[in-house]
Amino acid sequence: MLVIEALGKTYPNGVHALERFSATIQLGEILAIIGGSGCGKSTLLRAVAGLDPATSGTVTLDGISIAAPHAKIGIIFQEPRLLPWLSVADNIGFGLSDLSAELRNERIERALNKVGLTEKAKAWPRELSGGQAQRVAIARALVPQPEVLLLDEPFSALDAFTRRDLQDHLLDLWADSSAASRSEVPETSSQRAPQGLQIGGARPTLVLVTHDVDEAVVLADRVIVMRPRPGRLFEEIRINLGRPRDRASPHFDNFKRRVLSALDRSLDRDVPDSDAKSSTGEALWW
Amino acid sequence: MTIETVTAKPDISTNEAPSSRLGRYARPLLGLVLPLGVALAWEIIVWRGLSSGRLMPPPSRIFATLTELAASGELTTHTAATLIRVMSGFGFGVIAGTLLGAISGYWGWARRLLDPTIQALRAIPSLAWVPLFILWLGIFETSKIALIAIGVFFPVYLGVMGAILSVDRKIVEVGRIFRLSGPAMIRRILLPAVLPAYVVALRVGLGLGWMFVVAAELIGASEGLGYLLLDGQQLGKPAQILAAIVVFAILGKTTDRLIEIAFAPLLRWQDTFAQQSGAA
Repeated sequence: MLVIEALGKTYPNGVHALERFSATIQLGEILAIIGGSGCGKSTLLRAVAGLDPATSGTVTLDGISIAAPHAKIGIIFQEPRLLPWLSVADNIGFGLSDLSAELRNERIERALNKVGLTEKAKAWPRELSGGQAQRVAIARALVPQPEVLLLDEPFSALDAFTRRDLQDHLLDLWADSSAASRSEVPETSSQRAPQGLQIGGARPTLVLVTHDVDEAVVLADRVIVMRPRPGRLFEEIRINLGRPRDRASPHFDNFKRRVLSALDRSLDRDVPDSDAKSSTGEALWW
Repeated sequence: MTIETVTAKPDISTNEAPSSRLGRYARPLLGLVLPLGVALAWEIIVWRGLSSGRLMPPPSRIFATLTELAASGELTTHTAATLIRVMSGFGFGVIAGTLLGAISGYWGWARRLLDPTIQALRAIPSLAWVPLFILWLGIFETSKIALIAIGVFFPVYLGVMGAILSVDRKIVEVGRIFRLSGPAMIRRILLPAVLPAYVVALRVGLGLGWMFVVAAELIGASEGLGYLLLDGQQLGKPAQILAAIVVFAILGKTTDRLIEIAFAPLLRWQDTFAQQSGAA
């Protein structure tokens, strides 16, 4: 269980980016955080990752306080951030240097297979398309079997088709990670290797920061809308939809509208009513 | 439409295959066309009596001088003396430049402490050190090697420091996420990231090393290719001067290429313009 309590962040230049943000995220839950620019959503994610510690409040994972990067927490950034001097396979295995070569290769091979890039194992990152590179980044973050995977606008740099493709792909990976971890090598194989998935036998927690309403509703169990200056929690919306979700269904649309409306209110915008569209629409511009 | 594509395909492949095969062998030779052409033209001009070739001897005379020097063993002595000077100076310069560049690049306080002084020293024309070095270190090898080392030091220092400073913060963050220790961060992230710029710095440094060895040998030496230059000037032997210049060119190009070859396996990952146009 990931617990964020009263997290606040003020940057040295005086910018108050995040104020008293609290949330409790269950193991295996998918949480999307959405909000306008400057609402502190990336600040929040970096604090949870242990990259930029918060100035107040705490982050704990299963009771352990997180102040620096932790083995059980993985992160995927907006850019793939692959190491250009390593092959695709070596990039995926970057976080597995504690394992024996045999075990590492086995996991890399399985990950390559899962993200459908087996034939690219020996390729250089420069030879990949944007979508393929981000798949490698996902595989790299998932092979150490983190308990929590943070995603900082992971698909925003991709074109619409690739983005949808990868959203579905991410869900697939998340859904069968528990099945895969059960058939995993014995738990005694490595004491130091992060084995959250094996011990829990459960899916990882995903915390996704996005500015794409569609993406939030497709992926998340729960959407948190944040409000800017300073960034704080504005509204929480539970997405009670089964999976796989049909992007064209009226229920889906309904949730999208709810998130959009919360987003509009969080930015102190008037919400356009369906009968008085033209007048309020103009108000938005003034 | 289908007929068109079917007939078009073999055409393209037959056109491409021979030209690319030809290109693979012809491309390295292309660089030789200009110097060989000029040499041949000059040879013909002198041979036809259009010029005496006294001040600008034709290639055949330069080649004759080279064989003469080689036969007498002089060429080996002078080349060896120069090579040893360049290599020792290059070695010291690279070691000092790499160490101080790495320190200045890695630690901010070290940069603030060292860099202003080093930059000030860099502003001094390196040849200005010569009289001082001769007074301090004598007229023999030490002062020459010191001068070469200084020439090599600055580009290597600047290259290493600049490369470390420009390592992408985002890539370093990947190392932090995977909780790399300090040494592991250096070995797995910083070193590979810095390597391409380091190779460039080494090559620039080596080029300056060759430049400074001539300066050092012109100032006072009894052997070395620079001595051959000076000797040729004083005794009016332009063929000897040109022979020495040819040897310099060959040695400079060869050592530069050796650095390139040595690091090539480590830099295959680079996505460069040169690689693309080479493959095309």
